[in-house]
Amino acid sequence: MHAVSFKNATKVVASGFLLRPRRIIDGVSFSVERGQVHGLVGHNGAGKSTSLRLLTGCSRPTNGSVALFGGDPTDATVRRHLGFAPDLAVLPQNLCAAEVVDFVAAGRRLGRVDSKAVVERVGLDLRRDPLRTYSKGMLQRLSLALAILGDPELWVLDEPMSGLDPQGRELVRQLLTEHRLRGGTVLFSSHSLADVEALCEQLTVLDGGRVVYTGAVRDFVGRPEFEVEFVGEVPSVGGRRGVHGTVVVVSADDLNGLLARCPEAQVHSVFARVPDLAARISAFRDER
Amino acid sequence: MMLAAIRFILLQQIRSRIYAVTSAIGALLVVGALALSELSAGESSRVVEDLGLATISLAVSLIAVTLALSTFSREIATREIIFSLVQPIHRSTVYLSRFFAGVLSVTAMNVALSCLLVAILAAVGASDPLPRIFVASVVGGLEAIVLLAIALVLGTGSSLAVSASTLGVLFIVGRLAGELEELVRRKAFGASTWIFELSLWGLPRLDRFDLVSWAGSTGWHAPLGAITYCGIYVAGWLLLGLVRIERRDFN
Repeated sequence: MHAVSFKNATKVVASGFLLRPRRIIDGVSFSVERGQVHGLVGHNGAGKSTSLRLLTGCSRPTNGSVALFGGDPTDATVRRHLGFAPDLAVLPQNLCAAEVVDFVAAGRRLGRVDSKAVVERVGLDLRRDPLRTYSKGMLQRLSLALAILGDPELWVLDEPMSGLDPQGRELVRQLLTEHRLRGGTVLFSSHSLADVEALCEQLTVLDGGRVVYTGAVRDFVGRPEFEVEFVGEVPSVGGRRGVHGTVVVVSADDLNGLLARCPEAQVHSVFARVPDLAARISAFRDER
Repeated sequence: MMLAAIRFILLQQIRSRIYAVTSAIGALLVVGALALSELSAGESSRVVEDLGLATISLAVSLIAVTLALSTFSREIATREIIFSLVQPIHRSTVYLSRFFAGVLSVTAMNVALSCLLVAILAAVGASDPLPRIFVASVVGGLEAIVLLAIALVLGTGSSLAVSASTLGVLFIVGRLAGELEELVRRKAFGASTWIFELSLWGLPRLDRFDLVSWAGSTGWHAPLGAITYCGIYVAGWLLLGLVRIERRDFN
């Protein structure tokens, strides 16, 4: 039995004043094996968060099906094995961390838990201040701590690295690795193929609400031999930012940075494109 | 789990700024009635009682509506609701915990303000005010619970502004439901009478909780009719809300 299974899942929502139907994801099919770390990659608006939210039971697919351990995610008993951290951590502002931890522990029937240990696991100190005094990064960490409270078998994390400092990102990588070693399953979304490449065996790439690739990370990324780092404006081609047709875009986290990887046979094409770009190469690494 | 969920929502509600501000203003107005009573000649306890009860009724209704609307509409708008929905608890628990926490918050404010009023009345020498204040505060509390149930349902389906305006209309029409019933009885609407007869079944009969009509009631058994109506009507709205929340998508 798969931990997660999407079968031809389509989600249409009504948007705008006239409630026009808009297809957010379209015929998405992929699965995540138990004990696997699976990455979900795509640009903004590709349908990553919508797909993950279908897994939480918060919304239902318009067509097709989504299953969690073979069951319906809208069934509360099925969600007992799920820990979910959203991309934007919105937690009750008037409560302190311990009170929120108590609520999640009660929901998962964990009995009394040590709130201090729970928050320390993600590098936070237990404070009695209300959560409205927390920074974005602290809320992100707390949200992660709540998602993994009691170590549910499946962790579904939406952009777990966003809003975190380098130590936080390293902590997330460490937690995911530890969970995998324990035999747990992780499905997480990211803009960064570098994060996915470092942590996952399998990935699914979404573009415009459709799956453009699902399979082994190794097969998707190939064997890169050169790394080219750009600084400047990188043009958008078909909604993607990158030097298309020649390289695999590894990350484009901000406007000024694009890391691309390519095999030796294509490196000359990358250089050939540079004069057309409002960008310059800031680093070039030979990784042969 | 229901108890943990109620506690979770209750803590959020009673720590909210609007709850503290409404409680403080309510208490100030109840105490302020004492100052106004000095202007009356020999009717000071009556003035304190009338003004105090009106204030309490207004404050508990206002806080019920605010808490209910802010609970669902705000949570949906800010996506805070996702945090509760992803937990392994049934949506019905998520919904009902918000209702029961609201009832407790409203009751706590109602009891506190009523005790304050009883203390003030005792200080100005009113004769045995407890039964009258008890009946009036129960009736006022029931009206607040009816509004809470309606506001929760509205909050699950529409934005804060739409929910608040719909509730405002229902509140006014509900208060005038007695007059509307009288007009329907007199067949004042001609051929359309059946529409109004049907509407009367769905409208909140807030006229049944009008403090003026309860002013003379002193028996402990007096609010039983209002309690029964409130129980049946609120159950209907809760059922509607449960169906709505079970079917709703939170994208």
